[in-house]
Amino acid sequence: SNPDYSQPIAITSDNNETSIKENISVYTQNVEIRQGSLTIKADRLEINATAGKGNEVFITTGNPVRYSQLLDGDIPVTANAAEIRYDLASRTLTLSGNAQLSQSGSQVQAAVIRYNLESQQISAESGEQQKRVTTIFTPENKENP
Amino acid sequence: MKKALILLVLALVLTATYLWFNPTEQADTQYADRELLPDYIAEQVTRTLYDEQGYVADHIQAMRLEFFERLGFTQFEQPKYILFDDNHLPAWEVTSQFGIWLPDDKIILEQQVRINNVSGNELVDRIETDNLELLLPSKMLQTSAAVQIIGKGFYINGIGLQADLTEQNLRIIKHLETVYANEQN
Repeated sequence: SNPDYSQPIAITSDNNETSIKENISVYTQNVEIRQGSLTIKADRLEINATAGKGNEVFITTGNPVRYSQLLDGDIPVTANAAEIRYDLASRTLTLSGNAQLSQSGSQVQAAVIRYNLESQQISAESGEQQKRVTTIFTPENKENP
Repeated sequence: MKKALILLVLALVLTATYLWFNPTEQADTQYADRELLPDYIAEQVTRTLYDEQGYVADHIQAMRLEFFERLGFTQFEQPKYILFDDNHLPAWEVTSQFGIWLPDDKIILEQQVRINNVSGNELVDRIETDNLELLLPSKMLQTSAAVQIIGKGFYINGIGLQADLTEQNLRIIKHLETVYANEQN
């Protein structure tokens, strides 16, 4: 089946309010985002569509926001952070605020973690200038790149 | 024999008086029916109101209009109501199968209510529901029915809506689900 990032996105929540002028739609209370095997659970979701259709940015906040997904259909990846930004056009998640991401037993903790859903590349920044922690996860059996 | 005669006359007088007062009731029901008849009917109607600066403030078209003076409302068939923005340009076109315009400038729209955005490239294209209250001149909309907001690449399903078309704010009372098609551009 085609990858998660190219599937429709379904959102459920109790409340929804849209400002046409500002091109922003806000979802609050029991917010859940689903896209294929990707799920994000948060208290609040703001969708900014100023860049137009296909370039929306989903900004979720929560205590924490919880993300989970199955890589290549069966390798679970989970993460949580105070904020998770999902940029549809670049297919990148940006986790910030006590960001933690774990996959097949190993874990990355940093101030900011960027995770590209397409290339499955992860980059982490510790936030303090002197020490920069970068951990790259590349799934072992990637026959057809 | 004389007694019987008096009784007979008495009976006749009583029935006569009874009949005399009775017909007025029939007259009342005719009066009530007339109240249900429109004072006038108009077809293919267009009504445009202008504000002090001469800009169009209000524009409504309808297949048919019936005006009820005593009941104090106007009934429309297939009304099309155009709402203008602050720059006096048409912003929203509101259509439905039926509409009732109440004296306090409240319009109730029924069946296949569509609110189409006609001001070009906006986030929301249209809103669909079964019935709706449009409050003028504040341009507030409200419904407690199921509602769908259709926008560029997404739709929002919910129950109940409160919208301020001047501020361009739409609030779903009970959100059910939103779907972004996410076609790869």
